[in-house]
Amino acid sequence: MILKIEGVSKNYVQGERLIEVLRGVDLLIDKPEILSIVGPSGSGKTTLLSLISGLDRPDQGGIWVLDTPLNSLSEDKLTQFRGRNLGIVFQQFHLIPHLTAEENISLPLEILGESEKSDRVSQALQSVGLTERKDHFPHQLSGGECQRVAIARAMVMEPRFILADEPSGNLDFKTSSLVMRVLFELVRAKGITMLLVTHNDELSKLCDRRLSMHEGRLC
Amino acid sequence: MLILRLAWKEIVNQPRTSLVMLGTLILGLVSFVGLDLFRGAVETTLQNHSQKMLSADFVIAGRRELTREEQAIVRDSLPAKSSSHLVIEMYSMIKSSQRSRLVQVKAIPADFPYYGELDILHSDDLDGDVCWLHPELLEQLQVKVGDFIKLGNLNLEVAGVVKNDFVNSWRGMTLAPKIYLSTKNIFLSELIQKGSTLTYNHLYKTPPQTDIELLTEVLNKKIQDPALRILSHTQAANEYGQGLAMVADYLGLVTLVALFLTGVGINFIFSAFLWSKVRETAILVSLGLTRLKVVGIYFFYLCFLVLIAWVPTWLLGLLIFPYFQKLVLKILPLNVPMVLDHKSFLTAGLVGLVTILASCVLTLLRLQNVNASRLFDDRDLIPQSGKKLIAGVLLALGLVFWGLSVVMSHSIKVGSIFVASLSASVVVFWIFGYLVLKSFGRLKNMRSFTLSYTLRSISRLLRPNLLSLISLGIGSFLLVLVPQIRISLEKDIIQPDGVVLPDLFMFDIQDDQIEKLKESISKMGYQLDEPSPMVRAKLESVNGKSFEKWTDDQTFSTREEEAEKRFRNRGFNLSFRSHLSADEKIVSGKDFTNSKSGGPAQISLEVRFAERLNLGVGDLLDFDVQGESVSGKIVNLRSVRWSSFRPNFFVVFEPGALDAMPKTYLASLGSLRPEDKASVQNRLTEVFPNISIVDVQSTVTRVRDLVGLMIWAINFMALLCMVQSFVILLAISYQEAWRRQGEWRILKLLGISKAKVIAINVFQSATLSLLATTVGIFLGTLASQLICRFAFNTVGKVSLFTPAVLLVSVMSVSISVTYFISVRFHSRRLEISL
Repeated sequence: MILKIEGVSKNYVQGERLIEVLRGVDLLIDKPEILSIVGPSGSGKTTLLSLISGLDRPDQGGIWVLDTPLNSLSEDKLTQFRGRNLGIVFQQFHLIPHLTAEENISLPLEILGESEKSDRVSQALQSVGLTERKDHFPHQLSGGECQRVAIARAMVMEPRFILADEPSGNLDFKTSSLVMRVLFELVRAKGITMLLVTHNDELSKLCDRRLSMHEGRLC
Repeated sequence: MLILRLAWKEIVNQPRTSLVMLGTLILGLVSFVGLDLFRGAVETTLQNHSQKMLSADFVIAGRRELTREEQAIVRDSLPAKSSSHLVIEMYSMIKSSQRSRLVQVKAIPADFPYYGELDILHSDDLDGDVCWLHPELLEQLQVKVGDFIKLGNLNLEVAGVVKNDFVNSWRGMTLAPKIYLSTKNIFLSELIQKGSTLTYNHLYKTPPQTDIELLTEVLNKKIQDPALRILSHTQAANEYGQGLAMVADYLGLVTLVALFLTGVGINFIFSAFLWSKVRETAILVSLGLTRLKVVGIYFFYLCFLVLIAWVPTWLLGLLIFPYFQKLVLKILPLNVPMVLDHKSFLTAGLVGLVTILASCVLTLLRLQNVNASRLFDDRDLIPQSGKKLIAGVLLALGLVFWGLSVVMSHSIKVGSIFVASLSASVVVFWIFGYLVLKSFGRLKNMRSFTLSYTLRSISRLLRPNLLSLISLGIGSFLLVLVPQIRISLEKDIIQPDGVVLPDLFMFDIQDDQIEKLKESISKMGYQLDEPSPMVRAKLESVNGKSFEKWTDDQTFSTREEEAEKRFRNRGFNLSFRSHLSADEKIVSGKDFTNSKSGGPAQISLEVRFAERLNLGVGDLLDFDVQGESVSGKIVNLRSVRWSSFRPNFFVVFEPGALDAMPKTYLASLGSLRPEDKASVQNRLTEVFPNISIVDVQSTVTRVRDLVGLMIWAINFMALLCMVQSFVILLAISYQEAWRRQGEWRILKLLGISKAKVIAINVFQSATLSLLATTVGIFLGTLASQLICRFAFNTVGKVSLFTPAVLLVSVMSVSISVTYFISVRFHSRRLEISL
């Protein structure tokens, strides 16, 4: 089982108001696939991703990722689990500015003490077509190149599950197409499950399954 | 109005940044303001009390009586209804039935003082064979009012005890407590013999409207003998405060370091603040606000900060004032009341404004270059500055700082050395820091992620790390420099290497007393060190050119000029001997030869004395020794170890030239058993009442205590600098933690625990503080050795205790600060904009 969400609800307090962001969400992914979630702004997509990645905890319900119940893990264990098993690709890339492309990609390996697996870094660089740019810093790379570095970083630990939040949101049309093609090819080639949040209808049509989020409910 | 409003809004909307900048500014200014208040108060006190301190309007002081001609000159120059009297000062031994003691004898006329208070308990009449003692002498001599003491060959009854003696010696610190007696009695005591070391003070009182400064200037031009000092009451008061002024000069330099560090800190905080607002400023430009007005917003922002900081700074300066007051009282019996005037208040504001604007001028100039068109493509908006502009501004700031240093230290030499040293330190820290921090990047392939990530980050994020390094390093440098100098000086004063200090030092020994003195000491089982002759003289000419008194009317003179003036306007003590003493070493020229060529006598000069008077080997000097002319040629310059406390002289002739001149002798006596010292002193006083005897150990202790006190004051200020360094470290750490939040979030997302993130921060802080402190300690120790060698002519001693304590303290504080800031930032829920 890749992902199981049962009856998950999440509320936030804004001033004196209680806002229900997620209301009884259920979801099951039991085999490798690419799943997209679409929905308007404020529908709860990003909150759902936060819960699945273990960056936040639900107020009600349970989440299992790769057969592991997230609710039962401590903060540190959750952090380690995320680092080892999940890859995350952000809209804003979120690269470390003072590390080179290669160093950004090898960071997850170093964190988990597996820096001797440097061949994985080379492969990751090659798979996104950035071998010649490996010594460049993020400010020396274009938007598309930065996002490709981010994808390579997400892939280097060979995760079984990738979360992608509007990965092409900050890119122009041409770059976006290139980047998404790279991402999809890699994911399919390695049999990775990907949960993709996007506004892009064309993109969501490329996915195996398409879900929509509306007022905190998943349809 | 819009600009002012926007500027004020920045202060209100960014309370944290504003508070940090305010705190940094206030801390840096408070020592400067406190010292400025103190200096102003001392100046005012000295000027207000100058007549009382001198007890006259002006004085003509010298080691001899005025000649008839000189008396006539003075008489003709004085305005009508002036009066004068003579006060004689000298050192001598007095003896009670149980003890003897060196005292400063002050023989006064009946109408003394013209100004000031001299309150005496029990009796205020010096008629007859009576004296007044300072209270401490009662204890030291074991006497009370009504008992008798022996001075010279006089037995004097202790008739009164001095209760309030504002009329102090305007020469400041003295070797011994005072005894007052009548002028008639000092002559009767027969203490005054040929060559005795005493001062004739002719004190004058003039009508109230007299221009004293003009009068003394005229007299100085008419009476050219440098051995006679003619001083107005204000000049005398300045001399009185001279030692204090020197301490204040050095304290001033330390406060400048605090200001420099303040500038560094404010520059960093303001830059970080401004660049976080650069998007807003670009938007304002895109909406129609001119660049000048945009700069104006932040210019007024800084001005508002100064306005807010002004009053608290001044009030805090008042708070540290009492510490300066206590310091003064330990050095001089001068109660300096706080003087609240507009001048010190304005100074606080002006210095604050100059400091903050000087620190931020480059950043403000850069802001003018903000390119609003980058809003369209979301590129980096932070503008750059041309290198020429940066260099120009830095040069201008450097010149301003140099000027300030010269004014604070009253010395071009000291001010220049200070700026050069500080600049060199900054450059050394920068270069060293750059090279070392950059080299850390090569250590990235370490097993431990914490180590490797930290070292990599340090090597790549140079600016904040170098600033931390420099501020901590300079603080450490100062905190090590002063104690290391103190240890070296104390060692040299108390127990110089290879030198055994004598127990007693004697002067005013007459020619015909030498043999008897040796015999008396021999009978007590001891041996007198070979006595050294001393001949009083005045320098008439150098290489045939007349050596004139220095007179000037400059309002600002440097310390070097003041020292040279004092040096020139004095008599000289000459000696003669055939060989060097154990404390001397020839540094240039040759030792005396035995050849009798018939030319001028051979002279040896102490090397610093020669430098001050611009003399060298080969120069011809003509001296007047009580009317007789003696010439000599400088054949060598020598260094002298003055801290041996044995008789040493600036000017030494070869034997023969001065043998027949009127002279007295100096001698030292050592190796006394402790239990014999008092009895030896008493016995010698009994037999030789005119010979003054100084207890070397107690003098050394007093000098050491004074040195320690001054160094304590400087250390206190250095500590303030260190606190300032920590404040800067705090600001930089906070700023960096805030700036690197995104980075830490990413790392946590990628699987690194909160504890490890904190460990990375702490390790980075520990590395930087270790580097900074180690280099600071090394440079401070090196500088202290150089200062001891070249300024004090001693071999410096190195203590490991202070550096070790400093290293541990700095690292502890740095690590603690970083830890608490990290915990504060990383305890927040991980928020990441997905």
